[in-house]
Amino acid sequence: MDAMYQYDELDQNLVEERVAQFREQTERYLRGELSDAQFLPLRLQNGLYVQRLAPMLRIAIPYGLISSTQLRAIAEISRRYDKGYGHVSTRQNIQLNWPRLEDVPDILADLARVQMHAIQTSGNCVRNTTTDPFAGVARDEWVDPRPYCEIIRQWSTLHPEFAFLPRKFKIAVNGAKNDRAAIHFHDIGVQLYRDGHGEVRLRFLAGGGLGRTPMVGSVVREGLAAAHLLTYLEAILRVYNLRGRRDNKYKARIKILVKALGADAFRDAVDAEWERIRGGPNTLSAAAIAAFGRHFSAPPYAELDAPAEARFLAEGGARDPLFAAWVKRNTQGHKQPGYRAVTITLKTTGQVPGDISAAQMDALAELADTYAFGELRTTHEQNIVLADVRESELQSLWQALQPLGLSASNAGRITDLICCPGGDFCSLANAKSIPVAQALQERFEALDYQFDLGPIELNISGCMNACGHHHVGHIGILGVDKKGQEFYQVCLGGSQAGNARVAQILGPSCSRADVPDVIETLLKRYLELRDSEQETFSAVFERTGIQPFKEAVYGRA
Amino acid sequence: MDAPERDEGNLAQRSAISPPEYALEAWHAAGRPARAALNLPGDADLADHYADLVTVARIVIEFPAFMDGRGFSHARKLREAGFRGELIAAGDILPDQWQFLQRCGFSGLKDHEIADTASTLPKFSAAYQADTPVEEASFRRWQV
Repeated sequence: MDAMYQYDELDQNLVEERVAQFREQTERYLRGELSDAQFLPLRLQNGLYVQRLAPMLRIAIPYGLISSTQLRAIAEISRRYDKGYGHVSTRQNIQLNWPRLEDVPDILADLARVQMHAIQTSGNCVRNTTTDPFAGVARDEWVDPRPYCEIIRQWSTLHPEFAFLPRKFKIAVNGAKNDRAAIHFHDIGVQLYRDGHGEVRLRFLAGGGLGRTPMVGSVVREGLAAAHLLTYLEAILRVYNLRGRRDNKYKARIKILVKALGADAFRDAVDAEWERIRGGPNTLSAAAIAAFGRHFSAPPYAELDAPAEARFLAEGGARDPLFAAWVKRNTQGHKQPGYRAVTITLKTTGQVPGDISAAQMDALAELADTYAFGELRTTHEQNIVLADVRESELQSLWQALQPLGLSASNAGRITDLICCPGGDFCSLANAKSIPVAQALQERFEALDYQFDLGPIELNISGCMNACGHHHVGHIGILGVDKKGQEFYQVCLGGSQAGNARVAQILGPSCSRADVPDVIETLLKRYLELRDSEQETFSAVFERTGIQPFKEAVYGRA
Repeated sequence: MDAPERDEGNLAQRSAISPPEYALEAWHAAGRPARAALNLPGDADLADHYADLVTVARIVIEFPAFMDGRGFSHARKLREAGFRGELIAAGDILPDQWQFLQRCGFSGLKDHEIADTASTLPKFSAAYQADTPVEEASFRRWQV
């Protein structure tokens, strides 16, 4: 009974053998026996990019789950081999921005010691599976997605058939009523639910994605029994591997194939493939699924007097309104009475969104040990979650977060924005994104109505590859290059959840200096338009459409 | 690390007397003889015709580029369709790809130099997925 997956001998051997393999490959490359082009996919499949200023190493945080021991190991690695900080990515991984290529085999060996790796965090292969950061504790959860994510992690790791796909391949799994894994915008999205008999069923979506051609995924299978998870994935991947385009990297994602064939023809092709392999050796028995489930049992919760916990929390809030505001925005209800899940945003003004220093990592590891059974989660919104905190201990946790600069009570609010590394780090970017994020945070931090705005998702990408997911932000900002000048295009009305929607472009792009004014104009217009404090930005957009926002920024046509 | 047992034996193996080589169309035109080495481009679209090919002695899949992974799926589909003959990988291949090729059902590499390098590289001693030589997924170790 573990609270998170623990490696056995087979898992440990595989990561160690992977380190040995990559060490040998790096040596051959440095001796000139592998060309740049040959080394490229080998290093990418170990998470190593060569970026604008230095290599970047992306460490896998499987479905966002990380132990305090593992976080301390990353802190130590970032001090020894890098500049003492890491960056939480939108796909729940942690990136190091300044490692030396020669050191990467040693870094991977250090990671293997704590059951971690960087396998397939990049390259044209199946990437880290992502999920709901509140998996296992959310009140609206039907099925805990973590065992299924681990099954997919093992199946996709070093899969011999799918290591050289037309393009990268991302899978997300959601097991709750509300989608917190953006399953409509992944190459494959899996929704777990229960049928009338309580049996786990799978809904498969395929062909969603962002990038240059944002698309909402199509449902390709409904009601599949859990036993068939891997064989059905295999059928989809095989159709994609054989039929996906390889002549143009911008048309090589599965979404282009699904669109070209049409969802029905794509489904027929997958079903035909699946009929040939269904029931095969990758079929999951009930015993195997149960065995994976035992790796994610509930932590040893204290038997609490829930009303007393709630009373304690309310009294603390009454004494300190700042604490009450943090509880309201940064914590949420829990399956277990007397506990709450806490979001620690990495979005304090002045901080690069998603960045976390080694000292902060060590301190959070300590806090996780004290308050949350030694377990943390990274989130798609580039934050950290402590999933299991006693209500009566929230105030001392909050106080401990303050000196770390991690107590911002902005979870889900406008300053809790998603941002890619942009032109400061990334060689693909057309424009910088971090300075835009910082200018926006400074502007809205000072607004007295910041918290009156309700939940707003603001996403920034430095180029149309859309790593900052601007297409699905309620407000999205895209960096564009116009004759060597950086400009920014604003889009509105995206949604990554239930009513999945791609944002619409507001109008002509603006300069970096004008971005905060444009966004503030949009927010003021929202406040005028909303019929009550309960009507969110997203709801107003759904009701009014883009026109009133357009007029607010550009005037009447 | 111990060398896996299923490794190396057939690497770059060549019979003393090779069967005559055919391109796919020519093989069909010749009446689909069993004593044949069929040359298939890795980017071929075989649609549902894998089962038609299982009678030949040898199939050589020519990879157009080592990044083009279609040959891996061709191999698995051929083996799943019942092909028991020699399956040789040719063309643009990295020695580092050999273990995955083998796990997809390839029995050898055409290029001796690549095969020699491949035989010196570190290998994985186990795998999670069921594959062509080992029809059992690792998670079955828990099914007691």
